[in-house]
Amino acid sequence: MTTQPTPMLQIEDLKVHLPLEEGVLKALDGVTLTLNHGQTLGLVGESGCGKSMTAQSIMRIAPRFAQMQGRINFHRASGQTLDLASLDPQGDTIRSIRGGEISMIFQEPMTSFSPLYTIGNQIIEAIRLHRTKDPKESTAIAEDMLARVGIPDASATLNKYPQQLSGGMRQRAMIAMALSCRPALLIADEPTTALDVTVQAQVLKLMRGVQAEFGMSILYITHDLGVIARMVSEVAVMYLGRIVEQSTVDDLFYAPRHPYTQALLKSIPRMGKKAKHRLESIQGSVPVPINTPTGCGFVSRCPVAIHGLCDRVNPPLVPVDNGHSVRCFLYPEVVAAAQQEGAVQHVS
Amino acid sequence: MSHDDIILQVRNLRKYYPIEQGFTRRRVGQVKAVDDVSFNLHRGEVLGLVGESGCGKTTLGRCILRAIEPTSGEVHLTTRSGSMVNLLQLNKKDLRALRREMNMVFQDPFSSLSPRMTVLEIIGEPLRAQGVAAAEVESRVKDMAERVGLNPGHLNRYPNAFSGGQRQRIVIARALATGPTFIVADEPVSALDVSIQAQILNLLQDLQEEFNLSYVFIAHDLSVVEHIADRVAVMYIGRIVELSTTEDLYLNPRHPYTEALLSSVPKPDPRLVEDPMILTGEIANPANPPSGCYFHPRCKYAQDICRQVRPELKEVTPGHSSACHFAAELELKGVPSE
Repeated sequence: MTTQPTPMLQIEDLKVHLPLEEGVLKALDGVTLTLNHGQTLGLVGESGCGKSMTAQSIMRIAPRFAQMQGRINFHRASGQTLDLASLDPQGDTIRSIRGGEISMIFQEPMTSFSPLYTIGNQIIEAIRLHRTKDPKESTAIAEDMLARVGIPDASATLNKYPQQLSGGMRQRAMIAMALSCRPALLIADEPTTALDVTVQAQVLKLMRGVQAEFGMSILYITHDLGVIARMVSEVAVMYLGRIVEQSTVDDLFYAPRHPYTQALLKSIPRMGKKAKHRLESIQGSVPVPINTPTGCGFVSRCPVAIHGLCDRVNPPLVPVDNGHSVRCFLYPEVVAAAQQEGAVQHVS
Repeated sequence: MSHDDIILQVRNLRKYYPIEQGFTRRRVGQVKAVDDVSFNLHRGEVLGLVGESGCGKTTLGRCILRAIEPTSGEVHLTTRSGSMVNLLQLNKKDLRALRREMNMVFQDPFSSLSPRMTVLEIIGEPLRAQGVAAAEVESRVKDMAERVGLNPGHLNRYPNAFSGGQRQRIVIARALATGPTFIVADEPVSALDVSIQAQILNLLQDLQEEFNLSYVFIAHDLSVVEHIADRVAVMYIGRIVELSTTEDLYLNPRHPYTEALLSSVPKPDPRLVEDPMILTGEIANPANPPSGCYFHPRCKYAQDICRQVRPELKEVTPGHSSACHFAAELELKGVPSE
C-alpha cells in the first residue's frame, strides 16, 4: 500500500548477554534488523540461535538478569521514536506499549493463557488496559474479535476456560487477544509449531487474512522453512545470536548466499523429490554460545571456511545485492567493508 | 520357511481404553485408540505411519511391541530361527527372550535416557537384560557406539553432556545393541533441529542397509516419511485409511484425508502460489466418533452413504488400499514429483 517503505522497528547492534556460572552466554551478539510498516519479516533459525530472545527483548520480557546493549528504535504512530532498550522493563511506558501497540502470539497457547481465568476475562483485561474502560464495549470488542478469528459461538467461548478449547481454537483465541488492541506490530513466535498440519493450514490462512485486514507489521519467528515460504515477504536468518543473511523470501530460497543458509535448504527433506536419496546434512551441531571465540559463528561447521580469516574475524553484515545482505567473507563486498572498519588488514 | 519375506504380520489389532466415571469407576464408554488395524511388514522394508496427534499411531507402535497390552488381535513376528510367533500369546519369559529381536527408538532424547546412568550403562542395559556377560557388554557397546557415530572415548559420560542429536544417537545405539531385526521408531527426528534431523535420518538409513533392518517409522512430518519410507499407512482416529507404496500415495492419493494432509504441508518454495486445501474443523473426539466414515464431517466429497456406512480398507489399485467409498471415482490431487 505504501509507496516508500518507512521503518517501524529498527534494531541496532543489539546484544543480550546472560551471565551464567559457566561463563557469559551471548544469546544475542549484535543483531541489526529493520522492519518496515506493513511488512511481514520472517526470522528463521535453529533452536538456541536467539530468535525468541530477539522477540523477548523487543517486548522487554527477557530474563531480569540479562544484560542488554544496543538500540531498539520503535517508531510510534504518533510520530515519536522510542528506544525500547532504554526503557525500564517494569515502567509505565513499556507497559502501555506491551499488549497494545506491540503484541505477541506465543508458541504454546496452553501455557500462555492462565488456566484460572476464562478466555473472555483475559481478552477483556487487555482491552480495558489499552482501549476502553467501558465493560459493555470491551466485552463487545472481545466477542467480535473471537468471531473474526473463526471461533464458532463466540459469546459462549468468552465464558470458557482455555483448557476447554482444542489446540487450534486456543491458538485462535490467542490471536484474537493479540489483535484485540489493534497492534501496530505483531510478534508471532512459532504460532503454529504446536499444531497439527491441517489445523496449522487453517491458522496460517487466518494470519494472512488478519494482516490483510488490519495492515499491521508482523515479525514472524519460526524454524519451519515451509511456513516461511508461505507467510513472509522478507527473511532474516539467524545463527548463534547474529543475523547471517537477510533478503527477500524469493532470493533466499533461489539464491541463498551464506553457506549456512545454503546447507540448511539442502538438508530439509522435500516432498515430490525421489525418495531414498541421501540428505545433505550439516556436520556437527550448533555450539553453545558460551565463551565463544572471535570469528564467524559458523566456522566450525562451514565447508568453505577460509583458514586464518573466518576463524579470526567476525564478518560484518553487508549488502551484496539489491536488498540482500550477508555476513560472510566469501563475498568481496564483505571483505572490503571489514577492511574499511580496520578489522582485516590485507587479504590475499 | 514360508513367509520368508514377511517379518511382521499385524491382524485386527485393537486397543480400547475404558472411560470410567465416579467413585465406583462405572464404565461409561471407551476410546478406540487402535481399531482393527492390519498390515504386513516385509524384511528390509520401512513402513511409514502418519497421522495427526491423537490418531493412535504411537499406541499402535507400542501395542506391536507389547509395551502396551492390546485388547485383541494378532501380531506375528518372524523370528531369527524362521518361525512365526504370535507375540500376543507369548508368556513373559518367552516374550523377554524375543525382545532382543525387536526394539524401539523414542521421540524425545531428553526424557528417554536416564540421567543417572552413563552412556556405557545405557547402551549396555538391553545386553545385560539378555544375559550377556559383563566383559562382552563393554566391547559390544563400544562397537555399537562407533557405528552410530559416537566417540567411544565418551562412553563414561552422562547423557547431559551430549547435544540433542548425540543423545538420539545413544537412543539408536541402545535400540540396536542386541542386534534386532525389527525396530519401531516413534517420531525419532521430530525433536531435532533440521540440520541435525538430516544427520539422524541418514544414520537410520545407513544402519537399515547395514543390518537389513525393518522399521515401522512413526511420524507426523509427511516430508520426512516420504524421504525414508517404502510404504506409507495413513491413520485417522484409530484406523488405517490409506496404505500404499510411498510414491503412489504421494502422487495419487486415494483418500480425501490424505489429499488434505499433503496439501496442508507448507512447501519450502515461495514461488508456489497454490492455495492449500483447508479442512474445516478438527479431528473428531475418538471417544465419540461420528457415524459412518469417521472423516465425513470434514470431507468435501462426502455423500449420504458416508454418513451411514463405514468404508472398509480395500485395494483400489494393486498395492494401494483406501478406506473410502469413492476411492476409485475421486480424482484427488497429490504432490507432483520433480
